[in-house]
Amino acid sequence: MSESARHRLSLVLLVAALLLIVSAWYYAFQVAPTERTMGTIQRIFYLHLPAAFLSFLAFFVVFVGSLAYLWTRRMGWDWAAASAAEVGVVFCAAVLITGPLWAKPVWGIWWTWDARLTTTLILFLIYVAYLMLRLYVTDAERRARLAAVVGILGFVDVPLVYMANRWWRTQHPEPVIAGGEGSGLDPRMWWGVLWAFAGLLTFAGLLFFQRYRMEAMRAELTQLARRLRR
Amino acid sequence: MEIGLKHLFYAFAIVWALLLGYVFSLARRQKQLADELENLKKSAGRRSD
Repeated sequence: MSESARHRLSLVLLVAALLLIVSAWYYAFQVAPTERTMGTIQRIFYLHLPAAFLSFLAFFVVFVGSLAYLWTRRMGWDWAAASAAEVGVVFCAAVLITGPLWAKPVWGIWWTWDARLTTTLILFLIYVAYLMLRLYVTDAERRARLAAVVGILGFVDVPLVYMANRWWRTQHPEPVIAGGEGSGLDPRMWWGVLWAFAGLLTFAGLLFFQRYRMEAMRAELTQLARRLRR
Repeated sequence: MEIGLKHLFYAFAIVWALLLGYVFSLARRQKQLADELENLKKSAGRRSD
């Protein structure tokens, strides 16, 4: 892809993401109904839930990229995994920030070591470790191989986070999406969540695209430096 | 300010700041790499001359 095409695509993604995010949050604050028990604070939901699903999606891309790298040994897969891991960590951090800010006025505490919260914190730490590992291993192929193993093993925690409040009794509320009998959302809340997810997904796509470009530049730099040393 | 509103405001403000911070960090690292690449390309050009 040419440099100007890349710039154009980035600009289109940025404008689309901003329009979607701003309109989604306008919808969340002005159109979606106020939740009966919690009141206004429940609107953190339109940030917390999409960010959580985006981090799951990003870590799934790390998992797929890692498997594909071990299978094909093509560096592009490793770059995709590394880029997705960084974006996933940012969104997982957003979940860990918005969670306690929601919990304090509703539960009266910032944090508790229940299964859902603890597995989410572990998920964040796994992928921070993944990124640190990448920083400390200098040889590109060794780094890709080791990171792929962590990327595959680390993904085991994602279904654990998802199932935590289904399998164990937690302080975290029971799931409202695919949670079985008695669960569910007002359709207007559904729209708000989906809309916010679409906006953040577009923004995450832009971040992934830019981060992938960085990996490609780094590889080019290493190759050029090696050629100059000869 | 109602307690829930204060927390709601902090949540949105902090997440926006986090995302913006990440965008700036990406831009800075990309610029650094582009500069290094440019310098190396120049030295490679000088060497071949």
